[in-house]
Amino acid sequence: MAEQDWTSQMRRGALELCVLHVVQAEPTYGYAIVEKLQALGPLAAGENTLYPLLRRLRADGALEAYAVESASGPPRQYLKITPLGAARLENLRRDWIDLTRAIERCLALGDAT
Amino acid sequence: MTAQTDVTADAADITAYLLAFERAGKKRRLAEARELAEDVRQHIEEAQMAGRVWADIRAKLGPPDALARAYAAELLFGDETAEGSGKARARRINFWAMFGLATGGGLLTLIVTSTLVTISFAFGMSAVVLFAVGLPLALGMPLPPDVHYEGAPWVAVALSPLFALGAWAALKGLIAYMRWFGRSLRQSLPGRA
Repeated sequence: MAEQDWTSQMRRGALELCVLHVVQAEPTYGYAIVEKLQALGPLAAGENTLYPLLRRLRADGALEAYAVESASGPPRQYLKITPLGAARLENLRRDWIDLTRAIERCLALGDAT
Repeated sequence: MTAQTDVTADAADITAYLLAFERAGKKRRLAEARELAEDVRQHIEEAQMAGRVWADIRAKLGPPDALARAYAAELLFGDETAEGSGKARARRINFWAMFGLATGGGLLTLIVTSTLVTISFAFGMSAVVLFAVGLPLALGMPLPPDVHYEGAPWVAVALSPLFALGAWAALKGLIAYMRWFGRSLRQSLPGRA
């Protein structure tokens, strides 16, 4: 149970980084992000986690929404990254790389002996 | 006919779900609950356009109250870090309160304390001197050669406690002011919002 919590917390922290990265790569809409992350296995996030996160990123000014006409239904709300979001993504990416390198070094400690 | 009935039933269920979500959001003090419900409606429509059925979408979204809780948790977390948060605003107000106290309060403190200290000291010393002069005269004892007093001895003795009372009142006022000022300063320190 504790292990599950840890995995869930770790995934939750990494999710913001991944969402910002996906949106920076290409402006997209909420459900498309859900599908992209679902294809990445462990990063698959439920709609009930992802949609509130998207809302917060918009409230923080990291993402910006705009409407795009859709041929198959009502206009879709697309999301694009803002300069503030891009700066945040850069910080998160740097932190993530530092953290994963440190963990790799830590896990390699036992192998050296 | 059955497909048409299903679509109608789904539409009614979606509306009921969104209304329940909006109510739960308002209960959790999400000011933009209606806007959030519109957001959720758009996400549902996107998923339906991608070929998913409402029952499946609903299962993934979870109960309306749980979804509202997730939104509240995210948006409150955002508030804590955002510059416009209540805490940050309170800290800014506190800073200005402290700044006001340090500048305006500093000048006021200088005036009040110097006035009250002067009154207290002058009245206290006068009380002592009047008593020290009046009592020997009232008892018929001579004053030292370099001390001169021309009034009635009982007037000096009677005025002495009045001056002492004035000194005590000024001292009490000084203590009360310093306590109030200290309390105000402590309350405006960071972390006391």
